Amino acid sequence: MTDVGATSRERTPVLSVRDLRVTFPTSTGPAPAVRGVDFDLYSGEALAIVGESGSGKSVTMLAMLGLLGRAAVTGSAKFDGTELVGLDPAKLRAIRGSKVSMIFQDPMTSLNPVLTVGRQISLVMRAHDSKLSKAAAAARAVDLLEQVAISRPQTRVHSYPHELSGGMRQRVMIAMAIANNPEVLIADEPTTALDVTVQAQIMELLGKLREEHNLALVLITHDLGVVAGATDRVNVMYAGRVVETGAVDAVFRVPVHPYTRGLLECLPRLDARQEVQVSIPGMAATPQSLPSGCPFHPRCRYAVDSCADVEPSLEPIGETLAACSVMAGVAAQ
Amino acid sequence: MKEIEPILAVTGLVKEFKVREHGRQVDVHAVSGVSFSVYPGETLAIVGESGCGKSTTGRCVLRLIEPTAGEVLFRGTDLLTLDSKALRKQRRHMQFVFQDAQASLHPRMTVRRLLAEPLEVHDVPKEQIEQRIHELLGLVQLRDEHLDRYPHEFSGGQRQRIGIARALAISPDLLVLDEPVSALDVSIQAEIMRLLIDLRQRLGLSYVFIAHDLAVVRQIADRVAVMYLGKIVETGPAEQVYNDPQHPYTQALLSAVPIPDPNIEHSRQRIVLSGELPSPIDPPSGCRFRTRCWRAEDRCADEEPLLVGQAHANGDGHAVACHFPGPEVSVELGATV
Amino acid sequence: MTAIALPSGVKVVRRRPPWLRGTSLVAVVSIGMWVIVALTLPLWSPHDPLEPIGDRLLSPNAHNWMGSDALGRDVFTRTLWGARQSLPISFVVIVSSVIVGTVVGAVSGYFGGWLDTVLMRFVDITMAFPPILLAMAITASLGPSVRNAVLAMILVWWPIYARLLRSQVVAVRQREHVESAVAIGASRWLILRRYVLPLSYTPVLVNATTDFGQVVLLTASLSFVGLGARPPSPEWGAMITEGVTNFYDWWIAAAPGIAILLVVFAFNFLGDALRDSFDVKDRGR
Repeated sequence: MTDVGATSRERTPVLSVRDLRVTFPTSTGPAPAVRGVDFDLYSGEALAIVGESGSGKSVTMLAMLGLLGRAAVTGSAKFDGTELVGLDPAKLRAIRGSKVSMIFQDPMTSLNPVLTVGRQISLVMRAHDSKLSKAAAAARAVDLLEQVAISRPQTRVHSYPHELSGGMRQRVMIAMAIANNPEVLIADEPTTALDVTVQAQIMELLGKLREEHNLALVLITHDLGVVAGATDRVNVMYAGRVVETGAVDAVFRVPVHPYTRGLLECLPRLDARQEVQVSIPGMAATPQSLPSGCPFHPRCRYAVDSCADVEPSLEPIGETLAACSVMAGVAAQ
Repeated sequence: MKEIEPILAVTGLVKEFKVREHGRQVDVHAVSGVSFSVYPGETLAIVGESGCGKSTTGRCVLRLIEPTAGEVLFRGTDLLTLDSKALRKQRRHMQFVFQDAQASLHPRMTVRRLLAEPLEVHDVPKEQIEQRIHELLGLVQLRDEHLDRYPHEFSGGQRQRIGIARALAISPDLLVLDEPVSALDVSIQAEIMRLLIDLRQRLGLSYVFIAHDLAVVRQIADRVAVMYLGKIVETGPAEQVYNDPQHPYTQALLSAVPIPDPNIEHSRQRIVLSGELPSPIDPPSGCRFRTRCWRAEDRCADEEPLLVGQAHANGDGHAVACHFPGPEVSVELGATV
Repeated sequence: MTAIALPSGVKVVRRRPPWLRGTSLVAVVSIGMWVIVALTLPLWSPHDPLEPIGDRLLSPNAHNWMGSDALGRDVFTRTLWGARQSLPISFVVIVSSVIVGTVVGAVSGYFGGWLDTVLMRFVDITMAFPPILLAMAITASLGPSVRNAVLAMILVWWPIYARLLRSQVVAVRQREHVESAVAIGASRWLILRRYVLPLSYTPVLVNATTDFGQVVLLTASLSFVGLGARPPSPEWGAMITEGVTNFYDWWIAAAPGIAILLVVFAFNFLGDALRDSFDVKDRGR
């Protein structure tokens, strides 16, 4: 597979996903939420997975970590050479929270409301290191709170989640996520529920931690502005597949796939007033209602008849990899 | 200089909520003395983050919440002094569009009934109701077959259209919109914004557009008022506020909004605010922003800065509430032309 | 321009509504049967409930399915006739309580203020007493009779619905669709009628259904202590009283006891099913 924008071709990827598929059993039949996703992640790099609701962006990572109970997961997801799909649950648990951590959108529902934040951070550490004493864990918890820029960490460590603001709760989650020095941090819509100034604070924190710990970051979001500022590469997902992937620079400058183009065009810009508001007509495809051929074709202004027959695969077009037969045809000329 | 009268003139609006905290009853100072005007045909955007009081302000203006104090003049009539009957009559001139259309539409009423209701309430003759309903459908680009369906059968964007149609039913002159597109997917937001801009022009509406998303607001606002912890900290023509913000909070806010362009993002210098938002139960003395402001000095704790600059030009003025207003010279805000 | 919301490929499966499935179906059928029996009994009654038809204290046999009582009357017939007492009584009590409770609860919850405080204190005072004791006290002071028992039960029961409805009203009042109605200029009465009440009544309906059985029990209890139906009326509670005196002739008390059991169970199941079906509807968007 052609590497596009990988920061170091000689290194082996810390995360390597091939043909990952996730299907949910529903009352109306199997719903394919993820239909064959491939990507590599190198340490120290930040990959964005972008898409709207129903694109499968969160499901991809959740499935990889074995967090989806009833779904059928096939394909391969190798972390540092270890295959995660189908891995023994105990071994998977050992990796989750220590080598690979995840933070979620709404810290209020992800944090335990009856435990102090100090205890929760300690628990994460002691779950992966049975030799760590309570005292040592508590001390390190204070340390971690300081690392995530929470003021007065010695007092804050005894606070309950509901006593903290949204931004602070998210910092606590980040502290829990880096407590065991992970190699990969997955952030699922970490700032969607936060105010924009708080978002800036959190993104700055994530950037700083990435540098200090040489973390690989997977940022799942629908906010292209955040992607532009914080990531190196981006996968654009639609209807369970990656429809475009490439260096952030390239994807934003010369988007190839009509969906990517549509997304970028319909974004309201802070720095300019647009004369015409453009949007993508129709509704997003869902796993239960997948159009034939290319799933985006009913909403695509470039679609031709053959788009309904065959689903295109990713190929290099311009400076990125995109899955669009029409654009591939244009590029070939 | 504008000689025209504003369609809406709010002066000294105050709203305090009483809540119970640790057994004591305390006041939440949600809105603490807010003043602004809206001129006919104009869109004033009120922006700010959570807890700044913008939604409460919007609801107070229409008396959906009873303000604690202040004056709300709609075409010269003070809404706050009207009795309930007179107030209900006035409501036909000013309407509200809610953020969550699913929550604001009665789940067991069909679209037809939802659109007819405002007309019935204001005694529009039956013969005209049917016709008006069809007009409304056309305005928001819905179809006849949608009339007999229930709100839950529609997508988010369609529901918002229904909400907008319902607000427009009795031909109001002023719409207060509370985060009308925040709950929608990005690709749908643009559609609804386009609709709102279109309607504004066609029907000669004035908008009070309340939102937290500055990029969205830029597309529709003529004037902007920035709120923080219950107060307006800066207000002025949209282009001026966006391109030349004077208040440190406005500057931080603008600098925090991500721009979907990697080149700009990497060359911008961001102002990242320190600290946390203070509680509206116990706001800082003097200037409420001082606890997070890099320009703060002693004076800021003692003396509350007033909004100045507005007096000298009716509505065209750019006013700031700060003891040390002015451009932030060390930071380029990335607001390009 | 925008598509219809229902995605293609989703089949709408037609199933029987929840209140016609499983135990609920049994409940509905049995309640239906009781109602039919109660309505049509005079046309086909096996015997006369008040007249002795044979020997006294006969144990159940082919001729008298549940034997005969101390006065020689057929117990089975009397049990069936008991339905003509209990069912209408319960119906009147429940419907009246619901009406009074709804009015009080709605006014209290919607308008609030001192009216709310005063009304709710009435509710609190009434609910401070154990229902049976209070019903007994009221009936005793008015004079024991069916009519007074009904009145007493209504007085005891309405506060429950008032409180239930009031809490629903207070919650619904805050919802945004009510705000929307205010915004368009609807009058408070319209809002109460069209928005608040229709969205508040479901818990009351569910409770009222289950309570039907409870009222049957309460009626029987009152009659049992002599404060309701008096002999020779074939009311179930009164029959059980008679059964106590002839304890070893078990069928005299057992028959009405079983009847009460069946009716209470039936209404309980129906109430449960109603509650489940409302839950699904409210969640099912």
